[in-house]
Amino acid sequence: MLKPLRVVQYVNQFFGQLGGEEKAFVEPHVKEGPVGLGLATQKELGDGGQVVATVICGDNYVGEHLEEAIDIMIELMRPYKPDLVIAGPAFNAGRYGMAAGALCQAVQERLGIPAVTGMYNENPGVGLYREKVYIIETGSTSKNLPEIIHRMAKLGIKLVNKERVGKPREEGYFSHGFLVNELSDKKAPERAVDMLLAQFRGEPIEPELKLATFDQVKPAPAVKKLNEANIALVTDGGLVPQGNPDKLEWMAATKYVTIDISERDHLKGGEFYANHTGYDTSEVNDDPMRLVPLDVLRELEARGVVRKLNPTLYSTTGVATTIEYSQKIGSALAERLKADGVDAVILTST
Amino acid sequence: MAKEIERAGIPVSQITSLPNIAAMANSNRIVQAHGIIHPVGDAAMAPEEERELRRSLVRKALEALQTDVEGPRLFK
Amino acid sequence: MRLTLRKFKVNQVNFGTKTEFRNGALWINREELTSLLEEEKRFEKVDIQLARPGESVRIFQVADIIEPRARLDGGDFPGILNKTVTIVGNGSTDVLSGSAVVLVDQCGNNCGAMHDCAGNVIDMSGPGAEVSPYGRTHNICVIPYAAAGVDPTTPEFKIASKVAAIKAAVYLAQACRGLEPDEEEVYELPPLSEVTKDMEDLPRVVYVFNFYRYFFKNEPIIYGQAFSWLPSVLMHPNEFLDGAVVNSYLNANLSSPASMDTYEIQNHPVILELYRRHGKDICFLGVIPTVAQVEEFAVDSQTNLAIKLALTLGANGAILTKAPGGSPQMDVANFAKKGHELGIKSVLILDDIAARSPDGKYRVNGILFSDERAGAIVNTSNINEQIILPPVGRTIGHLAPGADGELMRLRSAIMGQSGQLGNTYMVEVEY
Repeated sequence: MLKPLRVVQYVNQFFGQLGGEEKAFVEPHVKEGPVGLGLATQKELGDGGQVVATVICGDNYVGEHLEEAIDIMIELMRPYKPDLVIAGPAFNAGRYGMAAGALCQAVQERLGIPAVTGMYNENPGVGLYREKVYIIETGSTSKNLPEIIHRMAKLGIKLVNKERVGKPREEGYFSHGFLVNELSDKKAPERAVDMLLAQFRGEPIEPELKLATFDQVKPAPAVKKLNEANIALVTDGGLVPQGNPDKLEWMAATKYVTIDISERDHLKGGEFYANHTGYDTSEVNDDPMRLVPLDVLRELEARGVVRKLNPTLYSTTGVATTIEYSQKIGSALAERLKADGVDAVILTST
Repeated sequence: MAKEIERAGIPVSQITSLPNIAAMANSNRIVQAHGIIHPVGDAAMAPEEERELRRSLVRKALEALQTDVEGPRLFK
Repeated sequence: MRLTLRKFKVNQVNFGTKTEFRNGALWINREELTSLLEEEKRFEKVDIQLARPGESVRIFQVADIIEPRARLDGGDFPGILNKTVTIVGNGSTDVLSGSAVVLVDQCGNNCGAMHDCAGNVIDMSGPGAEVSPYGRTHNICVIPYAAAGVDPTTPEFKIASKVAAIKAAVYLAQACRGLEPDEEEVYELPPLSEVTKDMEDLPRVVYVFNFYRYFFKNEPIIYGQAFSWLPSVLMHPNEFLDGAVVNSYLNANLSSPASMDTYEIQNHPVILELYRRHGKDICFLGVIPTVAQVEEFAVDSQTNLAIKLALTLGANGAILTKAPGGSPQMDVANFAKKGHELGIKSVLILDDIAARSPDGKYRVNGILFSDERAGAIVNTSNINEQIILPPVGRTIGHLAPGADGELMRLRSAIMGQSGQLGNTYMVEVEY
């Protein structure tokens, strides 16, 4: 028979049965065997495992001395040689959740063993630790506690035994947020027809890709005096000098490139081209000013309509660029434009 | 990308053939471009006509830059 | 329309003195085939190479793949091989099942020299073969070389290459003429006026096949024509199985994406699935092909026409796939949104081009739209995943020395990964 699993449970003052908020300043300490909520864990483990110790710490204490509390708790656990740590569940308790997340991460890194916690989806610990730690989703209160403990223990045992962990939905944990290719049991067209039929039956569907989300940004204020403004030209049409010296990607760009236009009134075909897979670039290659209106901006500069055209033109490729990279490119470019003293931008897109 | 530049407080006027996508991506000052393969030009036009097209699009973009907006807006 | 596919199972391909199919073995008279293909004046010569499953072989610069098929009445690939346009999709067609003609492009599947020249690949063994059905087919590689004075980066040369591969596919399948097939598959959809009989309670489903981006007016795609904007038409599913439509070879900016190919259209996984479910789970009405648009008004107007046709047919359900690339997402999402308002439920089949973070993980998908009405999505994998292909013993293609070494390819550059039509079990899952 397998050796019973050695589990250490972490709980706060409340689930450690010390008391409520009045005990929230209790420092980390350890008790042999299961205490409070640990009893439920022990019941779940049955003969397969043993809650060898319970570490208890007050929520205020851990809230105010997080790093120190984690250090102490790790050292309190170490002598018990646990195979697995179960932290919480913390439900919607913010300080408790943060502590449970931090503790699980520390257990994994310093004790080299798995740890599992549980939280409500609005607990701030979810956002902070879900990428690194397995967090079983709970309700906001301790309703259904046996079921939650069951999921936490089941997942923890899988991790100890290095068994394959199922999908977040199957196991009930918050996804780490990693997108991974794997094999399905059905081909895509079969799943598509199944998903269509589910809609006809009025059943909920489980889409395989999340929709885009766009966060709102407050628009920048208008340019007050154009004739005092430095205007920069930017394009995402993939314009590069012949030979593409800075190796701008032709799709899925990861950067922007600079083109010095301080000595130029025109952009000529042959000297520049559009390195871009998203559109037929032949017209732009013949005359790059069909993409970047340099000639017109020079006219306006000469007439004093704008004070100045920024001497550097910025270019990137806006095809199959992921949201993450377009944000990175955008914020790097924003820094650069600020350094250039640019007041406003004309961005041309294909 | 326009969003990140605007976040830094620099207004951006985007001349684009896909204003709906631009608006979704939170570009705030949007000018309808002439076409995806030639946002500010057209090989089928005579050179002077093409330049006039370009002037009018840039003028529109500058007008957008001088306008305070609440959210994505298409300048026609 | 009733199409009988007479399938001959190929388990061996060799060069021989006579082109014939005998006991599961396809014998090819190399000289006869090359001289047929060398009739094209843009070619200096055409090389033919064989690649067998399990061999340590890598095929580079793959531009298209065609399953050898020949109609018994000779009306193959109407509008491309012959201008006497046959109504395909009706009658009998011989199929050399388990073999494939692989077109190798002279300059790495694009018209400019600035891109990665290795292009799209097929590995006949190892991890590359595991992710592609073309690692398991007996492949006959057609490798045209441009004649003196002919620029291999031009669309004209590429179209000639595409036609050569199609010719080769028909030539090979004609070896089955008069033989008894290993099995027959019948595809038949009765006329629309009869189709819903005994299926009154089933969802009535159209397949909206948004499948290419117009690039070059002389490229043969649908009955030998390319359309920049297609006023909606209804096509019979059998037409796709029988050579009326080939993959757009040039596509946007002349890159030929590996995420769709002609073989896949001949064995269209969505059409075959809709046939399989027809009469049981759904009533399959037909196929509406659309062309990916770039201008918003064109996306809108073409969607309107497709929706109108679907409604006229009485459809209340739609499966949609899209042309390669990011922006065609808008075409299919647009249909789903409008369809939702007009009583058509949709499911989109989409590949993903997820963002690769510096730590090598993928966290953000490449979906461009946020409208819940287009939220029923089935995925065919993250084609931006990197796959390391180990060294191979032999290469087929125009590549420089060293091409047989270890090679990193994005999944999108592996032929047969089927990002668009989903002939794959692969799916991206968030962990």
